[in-house]
Amino acid sequence: MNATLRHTGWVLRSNPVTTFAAGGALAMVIVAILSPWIAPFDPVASNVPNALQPPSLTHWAGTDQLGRDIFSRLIAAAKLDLAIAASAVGLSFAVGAVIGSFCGYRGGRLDRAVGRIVDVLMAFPLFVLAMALVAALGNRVENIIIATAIINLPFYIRFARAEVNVRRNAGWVEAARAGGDSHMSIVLHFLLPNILPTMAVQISLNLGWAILNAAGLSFLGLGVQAPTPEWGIMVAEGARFISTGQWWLVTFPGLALMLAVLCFNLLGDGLRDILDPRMRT
Amino acid sequence: MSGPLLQVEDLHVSFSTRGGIVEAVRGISFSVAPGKTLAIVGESGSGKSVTAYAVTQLLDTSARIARGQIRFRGQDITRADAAQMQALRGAAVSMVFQSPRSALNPIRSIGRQIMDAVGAHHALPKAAQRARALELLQAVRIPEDRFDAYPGELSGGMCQRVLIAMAIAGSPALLIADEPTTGLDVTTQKAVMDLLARLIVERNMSLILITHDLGLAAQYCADVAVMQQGKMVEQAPAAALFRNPQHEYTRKLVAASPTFNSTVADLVSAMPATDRPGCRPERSVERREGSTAPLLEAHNLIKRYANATAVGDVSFSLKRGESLGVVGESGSGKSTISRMVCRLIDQDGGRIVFNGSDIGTIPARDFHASPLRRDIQIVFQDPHDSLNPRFSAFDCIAHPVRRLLKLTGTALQRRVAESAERCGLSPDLLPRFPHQLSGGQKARIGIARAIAVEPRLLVLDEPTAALDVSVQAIVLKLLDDLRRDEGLAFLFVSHDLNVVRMMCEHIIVMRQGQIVESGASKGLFAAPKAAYTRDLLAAIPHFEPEPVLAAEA
Amino acid sequence: MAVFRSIGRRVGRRFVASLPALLGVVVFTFLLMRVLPGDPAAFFASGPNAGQEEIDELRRQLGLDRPIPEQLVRYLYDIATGHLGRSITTGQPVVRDLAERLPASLELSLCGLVLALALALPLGIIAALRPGSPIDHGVRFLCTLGVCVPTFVSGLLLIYAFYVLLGIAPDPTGRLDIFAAAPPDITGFLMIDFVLVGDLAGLRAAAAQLLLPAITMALFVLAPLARMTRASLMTVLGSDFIRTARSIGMTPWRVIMVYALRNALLPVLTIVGIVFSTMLGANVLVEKVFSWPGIGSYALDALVASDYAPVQGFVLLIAVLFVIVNLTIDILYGIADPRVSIE
Repeated sequence: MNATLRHTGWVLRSNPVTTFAAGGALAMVIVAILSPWIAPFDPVASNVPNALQPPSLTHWAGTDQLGRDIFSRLIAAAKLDLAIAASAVGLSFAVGAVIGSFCGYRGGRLDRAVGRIVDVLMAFPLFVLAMALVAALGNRVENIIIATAIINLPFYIRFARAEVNVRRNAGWVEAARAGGDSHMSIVLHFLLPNILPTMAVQISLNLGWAILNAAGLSFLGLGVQAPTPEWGIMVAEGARFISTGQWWLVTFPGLALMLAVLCFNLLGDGLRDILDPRMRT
Repeated sequence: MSGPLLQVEDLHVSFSTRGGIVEAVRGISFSVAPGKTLAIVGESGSGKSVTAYAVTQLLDTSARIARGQIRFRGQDITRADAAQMQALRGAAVSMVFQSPRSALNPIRSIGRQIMDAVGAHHALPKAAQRARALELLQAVRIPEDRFDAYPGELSGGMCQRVLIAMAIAGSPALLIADEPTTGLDVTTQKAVMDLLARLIVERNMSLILITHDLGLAAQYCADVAVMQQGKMVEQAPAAALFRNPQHEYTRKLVAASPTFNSTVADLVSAMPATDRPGCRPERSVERREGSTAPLLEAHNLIKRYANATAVGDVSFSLKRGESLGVVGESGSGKSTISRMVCRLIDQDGGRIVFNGSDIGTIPARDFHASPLRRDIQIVFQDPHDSLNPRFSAFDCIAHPVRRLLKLTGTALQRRVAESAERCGLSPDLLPRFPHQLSGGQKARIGIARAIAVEPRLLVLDEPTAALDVSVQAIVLKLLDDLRRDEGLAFLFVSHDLNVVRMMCEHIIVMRQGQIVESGASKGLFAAPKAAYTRDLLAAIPHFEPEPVLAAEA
Repeated sequence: MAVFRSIGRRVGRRFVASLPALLGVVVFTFLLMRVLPGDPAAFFASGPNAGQEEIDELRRQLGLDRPIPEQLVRYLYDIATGHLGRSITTGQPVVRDLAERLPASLELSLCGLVLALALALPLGIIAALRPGSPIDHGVRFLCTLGVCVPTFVSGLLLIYAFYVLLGIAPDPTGRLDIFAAAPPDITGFLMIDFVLVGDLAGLRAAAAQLLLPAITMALFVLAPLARMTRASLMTVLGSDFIRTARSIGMTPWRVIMVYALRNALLPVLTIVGIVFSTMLGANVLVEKVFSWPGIGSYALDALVASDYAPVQGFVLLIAVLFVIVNLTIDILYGIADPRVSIE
């Protein structure tokens, strides 16, 4: 255990950008969890006389058209946005990795069929699919999660399939069969643990994408509804004031989105570099 | 012109890696005279290829010539700039590479690629380039109608000929061939090397052959230099070097290379006992006679894939404690047989009877639960690939013991330790992970894992094909000792006839899924009946130069 | 010629193979729209106090009182005969609405793609040729940033910078300034139409209007394209056949142009197909930000209004576009990679 800790420490020290990203992601999660206690103002309490104030020492990110403190709303929104992204990615990872691994290991006609379907799905404009799904299922948080999970699914299936495919004929897989393992046990005990590190990279990258997706849906008015604090909605509400020069209404939620996605993407890239220096892109 | 064509003096090449500076070549000197042939021989990591790339400055960007001098026709090219080197490459010094398929551009026709080589040094009109490319195709014995073919449509041997055609297109004075036939079948290897040798003589070129194969070096080169860990330990005319090796490492290498008449004990004879843990020190004992009852019988085995028959109607049998060799080139179906016998894949026809019970009727997917699973174990070709990267050496060996013998706790640990010790693995290696172990150690773990469940039949699928000769020698000796001590039966699959002859009493020779010839190994080697077997035997490079010289005289 | 015949066969096969996907999309959207919670009949009845009879009448008119399978068969028949229904919001046939708006969306997406390619390819190539250099790090930074900023935020910020602050961009609503005269509708692509009638001032106005949304689009897809170009060229440059090309004394320039680039662009071509598909989806967001009268904003309005037919038509159109894009990529790929035509 001690050796693992020391190794992790070494990895973090030699990858400052990844360390920074990991720290940022961690900080964001902590802020999101603690949001009810650390927000300086009530994120939903309107105060019309105080509307559209530019950033100041009291209101770090200014106030919106109803006089609500944007900074407090950002913090409150972090919880919702991160929760949506994490549940969606978790869901699609769990389902996708299992389907993908079994297909990739089994091969044959079923695998080819799944592969083709996944290819078609991936090339299809997935955002349109998500829009249609949310519209059909209703504007609720669960449905955004489901829609985001569904459009993430093809990536995981494809990824797990490819990763398992390159390993299914490896000597150690055949050796495991000679050692008395069933096919099922090989997938669960040998292949899944082996593809997990590379999947972690994918998870981190997809978290960013899922955040963007959920925010995009609510920006269109298809996801979470106002007055719930959510980054996409805040941008949508602020959009009306951009042409009159109240830039902070859009900029700060935009920045929050950007930071969140940036941290997860850098973390993913860093993980990939640590796992395989040749993949550096 | 007198004087050497290429002269290398005190060459040092170092790589900058994450772990710091690594010296790959540490002060070597050699020279090649015009029209002469030199082989640089060494095992993996000896720095032989790095030397070749240093001469043509095609080294990796992380590598650097730290010291020394390279002179070509008396001119110092050690620090020649890009333009100078470009003028030299192809026109004065050319290279032929390992893995010919990937050395050719997959989306450019071979004719165009040869034209590129022609046009690199002579500004010829397209038609003249084409005519010259066609000549070159002819020179390497490729039919003209393959001019527009893409590398993917050609066999490995053909691709290597294309590379040779490209290499000689600029009429260079020196050709450097880096393991040109590694990965090719032995008969293809002979054809490619014979062609290369003929072109060298016809065009009065010099050749540097980089190889791990002593036989190849002896057969095709006048001089041989032996490298070990970045240093050149010995350099001599081929005949002298093999008849009377001076350096300890050369002696070890020569002894470890299987020949037509060596025995397993001979291979390790030049090695100190500390180099070969697990092998018995004494010369081989009496071979235990196999009983008469067959342990394994295969009747009319057939395996078909989508559009080809991998194995067509093959029958053989194997007695207790006996060793049967299956020999063939790639595509002969030998590995398919090993996997069917091992019940990793299903056969499409035929019966497999093990110890009296018809195991062929048990589908491969259910065989893991059969009580006979522990009786048939397998050792794989690539020792690295056959170990789960996330398992420690201990877990690798312990896993089948847990599954098949249901041992746990101290009983499990004792069994793993015993098995590891039997294979010459010291206990402090057991907590390590595969990437922390050497190739030889990984091979031992693969064997320890297979024998830990005390099988009666061990299927060996090219167990030493990925290993250096000195490691191969030790592993072969270990396997031979194990068989005698434990009374194991072997099904030994290999492309290497010499290895099979040493390890097995009986041999079947396969080609394209069919048995070409079978019989006791002694008789089969002394008087091969099938023409294909004779071709195979003739194609093996060998380094006993006396009979060849005698025949020529 | 054999090459083209085999590409033809391949494209034909791919087309046939994509038919089930198309059918799947149609059935899927149909079912999706039928489980939509909003009842369009209730929505479009005269008002909140509309009587049950009025709603039932509307329902009958829209064919909503039939069993679902029957509705599906009718729907499929309608699609086959080119009837996509009528939009309740605009009152026009959906086919006509979509045909009017499609050029706007395509003009935007294509300009965005061309812009992105014009930037991404050189950037990716330079970064790959000089790995570890400041340019490489710069490209890496730009790409990382590019994927992090959502299109709707970058679009709004561009508007703020160039329209509000600097005042050099035109009012970011629609395809043309309200005071400018529209060209005759020839192709539907404004810029092409202006060129056709020789109206250069109009062309400038249309281009100025298009620039910000197109840049927004381009920023969005710049990262994957540049990354792929870099990664793919790096892989090719490290491969054995590049070493062979160098070993025969080819000039470095020729090695890069003839051997490396052509091979490296093959994976980029595949990515272009996927990127274009993504852009079709992202269109919805950009069109909303810039009030661009394309199919995306049309579908969005319909979606919010529980108007089935336009949404179904939109998804179907996207699916058809997607098939066309993929076939085009296939043809290009077949020409560029001989291995495809061999097998």
